[in-house]
Amino acid sequence: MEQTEFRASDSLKTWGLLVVLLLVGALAVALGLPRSLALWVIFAAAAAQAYVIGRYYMRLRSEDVLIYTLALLPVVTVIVLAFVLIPDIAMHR
Amino acid sequence: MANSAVEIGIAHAPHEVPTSFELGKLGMWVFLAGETMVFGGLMGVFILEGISHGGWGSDGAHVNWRLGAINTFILFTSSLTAALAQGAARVQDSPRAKRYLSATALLGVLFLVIKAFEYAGDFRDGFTPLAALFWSFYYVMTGLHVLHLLAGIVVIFGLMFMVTPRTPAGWLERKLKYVCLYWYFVEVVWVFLFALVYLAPTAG
Amino acid sequence: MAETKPQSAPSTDAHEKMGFWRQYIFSVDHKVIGKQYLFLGLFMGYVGVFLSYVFRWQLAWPGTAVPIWGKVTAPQYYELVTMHGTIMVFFVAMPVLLGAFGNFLIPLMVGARDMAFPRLNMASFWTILVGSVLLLISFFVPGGASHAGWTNYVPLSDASKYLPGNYWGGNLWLIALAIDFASVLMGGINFLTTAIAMRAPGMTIWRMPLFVWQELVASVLFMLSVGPLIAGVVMLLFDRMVGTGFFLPEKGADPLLWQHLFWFFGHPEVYVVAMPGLGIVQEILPVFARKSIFGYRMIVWAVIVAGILSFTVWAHHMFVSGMNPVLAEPFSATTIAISIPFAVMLFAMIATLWRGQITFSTPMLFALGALANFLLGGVTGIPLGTNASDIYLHDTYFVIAHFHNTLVPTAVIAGFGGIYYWFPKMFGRMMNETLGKLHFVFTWVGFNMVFVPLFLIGLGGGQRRIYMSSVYTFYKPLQPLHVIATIGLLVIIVGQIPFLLNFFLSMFRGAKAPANPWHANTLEWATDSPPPHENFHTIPTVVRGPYEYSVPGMEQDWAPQAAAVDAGAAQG
Repeated sequence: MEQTEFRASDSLKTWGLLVVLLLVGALAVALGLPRSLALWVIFAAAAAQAYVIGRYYMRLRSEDVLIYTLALLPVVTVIVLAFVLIPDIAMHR
Repeated sequence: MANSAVEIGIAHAPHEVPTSFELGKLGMWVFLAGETMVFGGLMGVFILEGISHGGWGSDGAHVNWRLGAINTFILFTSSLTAALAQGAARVQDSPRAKRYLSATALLGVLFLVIKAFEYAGDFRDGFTPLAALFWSFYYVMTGLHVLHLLAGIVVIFGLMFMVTPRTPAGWLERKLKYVCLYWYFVEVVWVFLFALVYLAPTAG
Repeated sequence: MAETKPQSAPSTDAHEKMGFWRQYIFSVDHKVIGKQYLFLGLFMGYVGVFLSYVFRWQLAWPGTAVPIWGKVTAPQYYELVTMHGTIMVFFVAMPVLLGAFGNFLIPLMVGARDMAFPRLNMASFWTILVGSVLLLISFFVPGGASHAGWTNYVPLSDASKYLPGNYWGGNLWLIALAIDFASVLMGGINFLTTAIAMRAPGMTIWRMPLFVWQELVASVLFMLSVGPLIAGVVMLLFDRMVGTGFFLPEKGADPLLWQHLFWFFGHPEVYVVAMPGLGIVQEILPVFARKSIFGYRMIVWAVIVAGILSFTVWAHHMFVSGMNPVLAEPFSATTIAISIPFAVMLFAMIATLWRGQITFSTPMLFALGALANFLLGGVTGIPLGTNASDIYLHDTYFVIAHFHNTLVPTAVIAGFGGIYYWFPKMFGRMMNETLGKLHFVFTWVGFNMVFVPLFLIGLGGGQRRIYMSSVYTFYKPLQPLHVIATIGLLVIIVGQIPFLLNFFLSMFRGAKAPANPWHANTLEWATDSPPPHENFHTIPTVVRGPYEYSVPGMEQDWAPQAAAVDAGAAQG
């Protein structure tokens, strides 16, 4: 469960992973990938970054179901909201 | 009435306080859930308006994604030092935790300085909040994020001043559990803002 | 996990004598904060009633001078209706039901010494106080308070050219609302954390009183629904003060967005208000029927299901707004579906009364009155939630009568019931029964005198938000109904005199209340009236559910949740 000794290497690894993912997203723009491909890469990289931060820095790895509920409920709610707004806002013109 | 085992993740025996939660952490997660709705709603609306405006077209082409990438890197590093501060606090090494924390806060300040230069450049080039709907969203979204970051910096500096040699052991570790949680959340928000406002409009 | 803070011992510095300011004004005690909320809510409530008195007079006798106010001009009329709605929903219902009752009762009912974050709790009250003051100040700024309706629809509320001269009124409305939301969010963080993590030993989630459940679900609903509207408020403030065009069609944006964001919050919001109100009724009914609540778990699941469904119904407010008609049918279906969990709750409450030994004391009268009118409000919601009939009824007085029949029974009538029921616990004194019953009769009869005619006006095609109804011929036959409604309002206002007398006289002169005057089971009655600092002499151990009344084989007809070890508290 809870680590007792101080280990910097885990945090450094997480940081390295984040920087690599940042480069992936940035390169998709810098290399001028076709727009639709670039968008996939960018958002996949962003989601991966959020996952890494959530899992390792925010400790979701060792949390219980209540905290998961609190973290995911708003995400689901916001997605529902966005989907319902598609016909009115996104397909407006 | 028979007690069901459907406790929401709560280890429970009849004669002890039925909780294993640290209050501050739980409260912070509730707060972050509300915050997720604020930023999530804003980003959702931004995406939908973006679709209806054909991906923002030339409006979004002038955003300075290189500065944004540098700022992302800075935030990632600030989270690294925050995590290291948590690690130091866990082994009750307050002086080292304070050094890491000051790095976190100063990196936050650096982010704000770069952001200020970026805003100034945008204004100089005529991209004010009134320039286009994209730029209105840009300022509201990044501005709200800047306010959150500012609050985080103030709290971290406050925490550093409150830690003295006489602070009880474990105090800083407990506080950092939720202060850092907030800091990481602000970072997650930035990750999505960076993808949405900087990378996506300039891609392709 | 490490460091669970044991809460069995009172904190060391708590029993120090505190000065007047720390004890009553800048208090961190949830009981004092709850009372502060109650006083704020009552004050704002009577401000809201006064506003309704002025515009109802104008509706009944258009163009005549209103006593105390004078002639009502058209901008004043819109200012009055806007501020009546805003104050009543955001600055009365929420402070009273969440702020006052939630704050006062949640720690007591779950057996905690205080809220999880007492200072955050204090900040929450002072935040909403600032919001209330700003909203009241907006009456006196140039151009008066907001005229844009309590829903503040764009583009009317968006750019100053649409409502010239209402610049600061509209801005202050938005700022006050944002502050109010921040305050309730702070409260919600406390409610959730306290009810989840600070329950007394033995208080499992299936032994929590229904009021706590309802507050819990209401807090989750608020937390999940308000975010997008906070974003919307910021965007609208930018539109008004900076000149952006987030909601303006001429700048390439969409005015429907505001309606979506408002109702995405607004519909869960009415349940945020309704659920604690129903929770109060569900606490009062078993006590005065001396019977266990019917279907405790069923009610809990109904509340949770209603909470989930409440996020899927919001566009039923927008059937005539010009939104994409594709959305109309699904939203009609979900709206009809959400009546099922509420019907479950209502039938459970009615079944609780069946063969009970009912005492018609004042709290019970208010609870029954609330139940009856909430039923009427719920049933009339179905024709409004069905898009075919809503197209006729939309924006008529039928809508007004419907939502007053849902919000007033829960927020006001049940709220009054809660005041009468928990007054002994709050102030340590009993209220006068005769004055209380007088208050009930005037309030409840007056309320129905106002809103039954409004249903009829709406069915007759009477549109809302019309300042001078006398200029329309179609309104002529409906006008007498407006007169009846206004007389009903005057009856309500007269009925508040016995309440105010009762409330303030009982606070100082009432008979001393025993610890458990109603012979109720829940934990708040297991401690002194009023509870001591830190609530309990020793944290009680909970041994049973909250509603075990008239259990066969027991010598008394109630069975307190707490094991009888609390030597410090006198048993009622």
